[in-house]
Amino acid sequence: MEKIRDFSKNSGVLIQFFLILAILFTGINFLLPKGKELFQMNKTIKAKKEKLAKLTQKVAFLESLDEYEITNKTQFLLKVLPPEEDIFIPLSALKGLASQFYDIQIKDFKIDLGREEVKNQLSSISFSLKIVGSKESIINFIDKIKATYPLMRVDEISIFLSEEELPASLLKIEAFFLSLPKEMGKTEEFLSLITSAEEKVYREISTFSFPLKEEVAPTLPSGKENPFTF
Amino acid sequence: MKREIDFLKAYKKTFQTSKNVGSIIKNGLVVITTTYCLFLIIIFSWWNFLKKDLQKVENQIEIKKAEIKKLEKKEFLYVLLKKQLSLLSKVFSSEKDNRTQVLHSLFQIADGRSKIAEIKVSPSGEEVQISGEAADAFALAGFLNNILSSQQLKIFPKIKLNSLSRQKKGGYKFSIVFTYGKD
Repeated sequence: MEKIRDFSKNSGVLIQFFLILAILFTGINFLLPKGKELFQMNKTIKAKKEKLAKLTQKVAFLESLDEYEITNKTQFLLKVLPPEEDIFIPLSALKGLASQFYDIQIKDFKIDLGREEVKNQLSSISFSLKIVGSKESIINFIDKIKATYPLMRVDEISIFLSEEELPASLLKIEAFFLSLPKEMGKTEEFLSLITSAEEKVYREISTFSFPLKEEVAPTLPSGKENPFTF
Repeated sequence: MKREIDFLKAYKKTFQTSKNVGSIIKNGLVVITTTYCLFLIIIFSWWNFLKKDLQKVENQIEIKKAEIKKLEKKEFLYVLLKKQLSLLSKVFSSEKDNRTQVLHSLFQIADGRSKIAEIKVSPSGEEVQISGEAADAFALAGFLNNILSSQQLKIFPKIKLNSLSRQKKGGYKFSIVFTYGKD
């Protein structure tokens, strides 16, 4: 009888014990996934902070760029490496170049079919050009091709010399074109810097010229004209 | 002698032990519950803190993305410029510039008695092939001597007389190959 009374006294403690056991059980079931979630969240925050740092760096870099300067450089390089594969661009440049020499004549022109190559968005068209002129003019003509835009590379040079006729030269030329990039990569991806070697290349290319006068769109009068300006 | 069992004493002892165990369990449970609650509070506070932090970082990322979007034109121009320059530097690095100098030298070494009829320069500029005619053996010897003594043609480590034939009407036809770099 006394034992039963003791049990009833301790039953409160037992109930409390079982209640806490139940809380612990549910707590473990709840806390463990929560703990995993916290760990995952910590990882995510770390990754996102890295991404934010990259984006901040990119924004700062882009803001530091001179838009006017890049636009000018890009526009000039678009003339050096035209985006559309048009054989008439290098051909007209060569024709213009030949006209700068009093004795150079373009005798023949052939496109090498099937020699079109595409490497890293850089495509090229190969063609052969037969010119006639003095030895000095031929050499100067070849030298000038190297400093003329659109970019052309003289691959093979054959010179035929005879006593009766003017020296003739058959040049195999490769003209380059660059298709515009279709995508810019990931937003957080940092833009690779222009190397000193590339800057040196730009300095060299900036001396290139187009042998023909570039056409300028005529400026049409717009609106009222100021009669007080002379 | 009659022996008696003192039940009261035994009962007292049992009761005290169970009372001690009960109080230990009770106190222990209070400690466990308190610790557990504290742990829960810490977990929830940490979770809340991380959630707010994540939200903050995500907001900042969105702001930066919007800023990049505004600078999209600049980015495109820069990407294009970089692409153009990297490809141009590749084309430039593979180019040989001494070919016209070699042509100059070849034109200079030919005289009235020995003539070059054809010059072929390979795409890489590593091989130059000439063919021509010499009036006689002396003219040919002079021509070969001019080649060997030419400073500009010293860039070719290997000069090979590819063919030499005597003509019916006199004179010699020759073919010479200049190789740069390779054997």
